[in-house]
Amino acid sequence: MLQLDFRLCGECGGCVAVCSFGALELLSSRLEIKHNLCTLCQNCVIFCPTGALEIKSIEGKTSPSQTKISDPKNG
Amino acid sequence: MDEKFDCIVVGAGPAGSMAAKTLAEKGVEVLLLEKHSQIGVPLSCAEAISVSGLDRFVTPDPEWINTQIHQVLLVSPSNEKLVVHHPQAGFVLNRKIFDKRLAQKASSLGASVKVNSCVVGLLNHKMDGFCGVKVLEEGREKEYGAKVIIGADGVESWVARWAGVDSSLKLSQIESCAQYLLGEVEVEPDRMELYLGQSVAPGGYAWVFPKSANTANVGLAITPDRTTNKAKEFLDQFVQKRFSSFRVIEFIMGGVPAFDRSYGSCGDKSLVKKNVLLVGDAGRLVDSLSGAGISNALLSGKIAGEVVSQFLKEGPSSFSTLRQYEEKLLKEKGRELRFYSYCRAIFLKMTDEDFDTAVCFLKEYFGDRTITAIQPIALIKTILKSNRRFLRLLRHLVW
Repeated sequence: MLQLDFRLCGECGGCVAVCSFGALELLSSRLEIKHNLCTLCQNCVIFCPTGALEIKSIEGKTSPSQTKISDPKNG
Repeated sequence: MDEKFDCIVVGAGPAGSMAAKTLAEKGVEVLLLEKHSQIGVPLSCAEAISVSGLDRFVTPDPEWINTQIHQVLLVSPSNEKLVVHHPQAGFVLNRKIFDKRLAQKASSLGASVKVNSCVVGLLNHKMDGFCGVKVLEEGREKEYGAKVIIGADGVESWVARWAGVDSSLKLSQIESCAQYLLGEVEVEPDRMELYLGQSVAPGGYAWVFPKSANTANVGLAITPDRTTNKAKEFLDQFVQKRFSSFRVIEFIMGGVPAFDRSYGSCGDKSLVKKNVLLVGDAGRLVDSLSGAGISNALLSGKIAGEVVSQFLKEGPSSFSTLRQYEEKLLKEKGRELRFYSYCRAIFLKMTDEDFDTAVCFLKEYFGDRTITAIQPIALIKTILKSNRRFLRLLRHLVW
């Protein structure tokens, strides 16, 4: 599941622009994730300049695919 | 409907405020909506603009000009340095003030301006097009009517999506940017610095734009699918390498869209959809090589304002008059925007060795001359013709 660390998010809107599914909204000043539209394509995760977005499994652990992206040595 | 206007502009950045100002000047009832509580805040910009890109739209004012740039330092991956002296190279703005003053100008000419007003959707007309916007103001939903809507809502533009424009960007079409405002740094207040290299900023470049004798916007842009590291990580490395001492005043991040060459051709990509016009970053009107967008934002806002005013004067009959916005804009800027878009494709194929070769060539080309005018397109063509490998890169492109 896509998760946002609000402390790292600068509300720049780039992640919204790279989401083809309309799963991210920055209409107010906080980024909102529509989980029902998110396909876990990871475009927003790859774009984010600070690493504020992550794919996490429901138990809260980083998914294997995300581990591959953030740290190929452990992938 | 809570209130009705001739035109609603969504977003009070340079594009939106310029559109509202142009419309207000022509006596159009215009509403300018900004979702943030302050115009110009939060900042998401490196704040540099060329002299010609600014002074044709507004008279430069010392209140919102931090520094005037007279020289540009270009540093290659192997530390080859080129300094180009140009008395009219550009300005570094204070966008927090610049944006406010532009919106205030629109307001003084008669535009209604609302902050803390967050547009959450477009209102569909029974027959055709859109008849207004739905907003959230202090938790309350309101509806404002309009004959035309201008989307100036930045890179994330939801106005574009609601209007039916396929505006989502591929990872190769956006730059992932991070920037510090640094204090207590040693910089030349009239010198802009640009750094190239895959280890510095893959698929982009790093910059130092002086804001005063000891403060600077220090940032970089990367193409996000080129690396597994984050823009901020590259920036932290760059800052440590470039400055022996500094104090972080502010950190910002952003996404800079690359111009999409399919705009202006047939298909779903259009700057005009029914009675909705897209300006500035919402229309992807950015120089894809440098990432510069303020001047195009001002130009697109101005042309949109002129076309909408004409459309309203003629009496809204057919939306086809509104298409003149895209035609006029691309007639003036299309060639340049497409050229920089091709240049970006070449830039993304260049290796560190290529950057070194290009900077060495430019050092010989410019020598110690002071440049009074640069024709970027002619200069880039000269660079590409200077080396057989660059010519080979050209062959990979579909022109």
